[in-house]
Order: sequence, then C-alpha cells, then structure tokens
Amino acid sequence: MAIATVHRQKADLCWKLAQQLYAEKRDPFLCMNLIFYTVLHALEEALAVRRKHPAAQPRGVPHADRDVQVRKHLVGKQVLEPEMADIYTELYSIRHTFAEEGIQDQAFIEHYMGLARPLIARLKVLNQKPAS
Amino acid sequence: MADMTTHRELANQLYEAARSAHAAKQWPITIDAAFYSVFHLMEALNAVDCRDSYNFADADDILTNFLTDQLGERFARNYRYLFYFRRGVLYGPHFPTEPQVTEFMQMCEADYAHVLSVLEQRLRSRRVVHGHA
Repeated sequence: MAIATVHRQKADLCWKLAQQLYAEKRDPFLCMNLIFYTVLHALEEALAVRRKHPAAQPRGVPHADRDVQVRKHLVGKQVLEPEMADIYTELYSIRHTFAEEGIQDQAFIEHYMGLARPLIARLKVLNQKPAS
Repeated sequence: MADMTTHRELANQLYEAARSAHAAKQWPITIDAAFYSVFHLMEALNAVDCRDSYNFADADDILTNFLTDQLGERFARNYRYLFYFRRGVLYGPHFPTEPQVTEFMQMCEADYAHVLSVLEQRLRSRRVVHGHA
C-alpha cells in the first residue's frame, strides 16, 4: 500500500493528465480512468493519514472496500459529506472499463468530469487539513 | 462485455494512445492504455466464442481455461506480468522507471501483435467454415 504522500503525488499527476486529455477532447476511456485514479488516490490519502487503507482483493482492486472505508471513517466521522461519498459510488458504478456500454464518447466524459470535479475539489481541501 | 468489433476497435484506439503517450513520456497513460489494449484484444478473441469477462479474476480464469490453449503459456505469463505491474504503479506505492515503462510497452506491443494474429486467423477460419456451410 502507498503512503499518504505517494497518494498525493499520484492524485496530482493523474489530475494533471486527466485535465490535459479533457481539454484536448481525446481518449475518453483513458480520461475517465485518470479522473477515477485522481479520486481514488485523494480518497486513499485521506484514509491513509487515518490508517484506514482499504484491503487489496486478490487479483482485483478494492473500489467497494474503499467505499465502505470512506463511509465509515470519513463520512461517519463527519469529515466528508455523504453526498461526496455518493459521487465516488457513482464514479465507480459508471466506469465501465470492460466496454459494458460500448466505447465512451465525449458526452460521457463531460458528464464524468462534471461529477468528479466537486469531489476532487472537496478532497483537496480535506487533505490540506491535518487529520483529527 | 461487448461484441468482438467493439473490443477490437477499443483495443486499437488504446494501442495508438499508448504509443503517443509513450513518446510523450506520460507513463500513467502509457501503462493504462497499453495494458487495456492487450486486455480488450483478448476480450475480442473471447467474444468470437461468445465469452465475456465480468471482472479481472474472471478474465484470469478464462485465460487459464481457454485462451492459454490459443495464445500459449508465454503469453499467459506476460499478461500476468502486465496486470500486476499496472496495478502496482497505478494503484499501489510504486513509480516505474523509464526503462521499465519502455519494457512494459514493448511487451504490450508484442502481445498485442500476437493476439491480433491469432484473432485474425480465427476470423479467417470462421469465414472459411461458414463459406463451406
């Protein structure tokens, strides 16, 4: 598992690249992933400083585990609003990397970016504060 | 979970994106795009036999039970290397070095070409069978 500073570095790197692809209107699938990686690393930074990393599933990635940890340790402790956690749930629920609904298009990525922006902004503020 | 044409088209888009990102030294895009290009081409091959992966564990089971026969043990080993490397650098604590990214990209290019040749062979033989039917 990464430590909090690594999560922050990766969130910043992925966010920069996501915004670049978004501005250039290209590669919606990859842009979606970069937005999602930004969110997950920002959430894991917030969890890591509270020593609440999600457990890694064998041969998988713990999106639902992360959701549980977020709701228990961030929403439950009133450091993150429930509607922000709902955004995270929505982001991984509609991130269809196995082409379940075909290939992502520009309209989809505009919706995805619109969903993610408030959460990313909120997590940046949260992660600036020391954990209580 | 799509038809063969969709997986193949997405794989091709991702392959081209991986090459561009590698030239631009954007490792997160390179790794993600290159891995998913191989993955979606495998899914295109699965779709020929009406199979779909529902998650990555499922994809690995299908690789073990079906695709290794068509693609070979070496491909299966490579795929698992790609899978865990991507997970480690995109989700985990690791930052890849430039030579590691280049090696990853070269493996993906070779694997992509291999799956594509097997897929095209399958499609050709299917056309022949259907042509004789």
